[in-house]
Amino acid sequence: LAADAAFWSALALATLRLSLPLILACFGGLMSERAGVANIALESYLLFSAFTAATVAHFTLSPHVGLLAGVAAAGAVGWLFATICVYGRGDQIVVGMAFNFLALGLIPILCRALFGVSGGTPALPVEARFGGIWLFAFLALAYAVYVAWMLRQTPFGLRVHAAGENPVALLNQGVDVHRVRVLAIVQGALIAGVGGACLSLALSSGYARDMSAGRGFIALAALIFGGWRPLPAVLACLAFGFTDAAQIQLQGREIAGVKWPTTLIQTLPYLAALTVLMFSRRRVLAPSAINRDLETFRSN
Amino acid sequence: MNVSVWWKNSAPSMAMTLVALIVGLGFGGLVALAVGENPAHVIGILVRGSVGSSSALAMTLFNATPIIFTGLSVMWAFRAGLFNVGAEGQMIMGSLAMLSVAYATGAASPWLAWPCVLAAGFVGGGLWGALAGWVKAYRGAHEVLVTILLNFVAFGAIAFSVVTLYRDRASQAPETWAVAPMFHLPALPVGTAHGPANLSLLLALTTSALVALALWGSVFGFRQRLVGGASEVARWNGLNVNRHIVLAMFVAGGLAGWAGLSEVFGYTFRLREGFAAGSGFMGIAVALLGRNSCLGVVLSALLFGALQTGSLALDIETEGVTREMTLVIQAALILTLASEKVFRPFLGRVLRG
Repeated sequence: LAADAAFWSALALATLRLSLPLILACFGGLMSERAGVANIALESYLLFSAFTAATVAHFTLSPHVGLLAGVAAAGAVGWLFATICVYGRGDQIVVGMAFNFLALGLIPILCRALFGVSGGTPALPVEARFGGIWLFAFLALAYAVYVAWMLRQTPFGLRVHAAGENPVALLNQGVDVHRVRVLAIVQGALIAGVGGACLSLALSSGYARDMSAGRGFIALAALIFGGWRPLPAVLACLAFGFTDAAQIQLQGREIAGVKWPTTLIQTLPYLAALTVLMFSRRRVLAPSAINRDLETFRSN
Repeated sequence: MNVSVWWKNSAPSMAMTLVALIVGLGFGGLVALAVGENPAHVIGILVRGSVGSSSALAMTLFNATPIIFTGLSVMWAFRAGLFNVGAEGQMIMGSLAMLSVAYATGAASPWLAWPCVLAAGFVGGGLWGALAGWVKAYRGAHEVLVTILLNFVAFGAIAFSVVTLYRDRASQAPETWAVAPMFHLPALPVGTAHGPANLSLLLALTTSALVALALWGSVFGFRQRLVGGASEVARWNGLNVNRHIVLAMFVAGGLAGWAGLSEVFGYTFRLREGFAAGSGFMGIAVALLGRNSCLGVVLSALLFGALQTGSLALDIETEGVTREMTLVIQAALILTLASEKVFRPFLGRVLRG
């Protein structure tokens, strides 16, 4: 039984560790989508901030400076994404995919220019990374409380909500809808950047190629499953984090007398996200102005 | 059609394509400059490495073949109002299906076996696409998210196939065993006698002609475009929009399912680790740059095939720039085309003079 207790506490800790990047990325998606901008670019936020955080931590030997740099990088990426979506009036989904390609293309080139190899940063020494995940757990919790309060109780939060549900009403109030959307996206990108830094500075020792492994997309599935509300979305992220932790635990074990191949077990988190999307009919909860630019409302 | 009307309609669109190409290559050049390479030198390597010799040209045609298929796949979905980001996974599942059928029918007559293999490729990729279409139509999840997640599952399936299921134990590298010689597609007379450009290129060109015929010359194609262009009108006219979404994703997936033909049956004759490697995603840029027309897709697939081939040379011949340059150019190009609403009025003014 003692071994069992050790097993379960290890599983719980692994769940928390693997959920944190999901939760933080999910907040990034939440801020953007609640303001009416569909955000498929979360993956690129994670990759850019994980890479920048690891690179800066490598040169400064300070995880905290690395974290700040990662957050700033994600904020810059988010600002660019917001500008092209909102002012450039590009199709939000297409622009989002292009940002993911940009991350996949630009990072290996920068990596090779800085470190001579395109596969990732060198392993960070202990003093350049975080010893635990507690700072990130605290930031995630604090932001969860903040965002739940902010969206309901502050003028900015209500404007974000209106920008996503009925931007014309907001426009008629004399509010600059574009500005609200850009600010919301950038704020979301900053918190998602914390998630990226968590990946490279706390969950592993440096940046490795494509290290987010689709977490940006799983976070989006969690956001949808959580009905675009902060606390249910966090719970959904924890559930997906659990499947990821379970997947790692299950590798090399016998289930029902069969030793399942690792290659198939590794697909569990994606299968879990797909299953959730298949069995939830939640479209009605989506912000109604999502993926529509303001002009389409004006012409109606 | 009156020539001046045609010009008025398509000139801004062609100008936009040109602008996107310039911005894409220009951004690529800036990145090269930023990592300390001379952009002119980089472009020289790209051109020489892609069309500079007959073997390079053969490689370019070989690389263009799968992205003609995935470009057509993304284009079909776009025409039906859907964004298919899952061509990568559909290509993998189609190739796995073709490989399985090729193993099973290795002793049969080629006249029986080849049609079975081709059907398996289309159906295998098609079902993988249709699954995403079903979730979109009947469960309301965005097809982009669903197809991306299905891609990751397909990556697992191919890893399982090359590492465990069809693993060639005689080989050191993770790869499947080879298909029977009757499945080897003949090489085209470019480059060396062993390809890599092969007959599947002609199949890709034929398919693109057939896709054009189906989309603009058949009732089914018209309905698909109606659902994509004006789903409310389609609904009022009694079309089952949801069923058309599933069908559209089936066709899109099926087209992507054939994308593996070139590599699996024309060059390596087996599946290897790292198969596909972005060909599906490249279909997006190809379809967008090709303006969702079949001729456009073929032309931009040739361009991207050249870019892909040339950027392999970058890996070897430059210090700072890697093959990922293709992705950077792709991203800049897509971003320019996506924000075309900003450029359009300006271009219109310039063209009107």
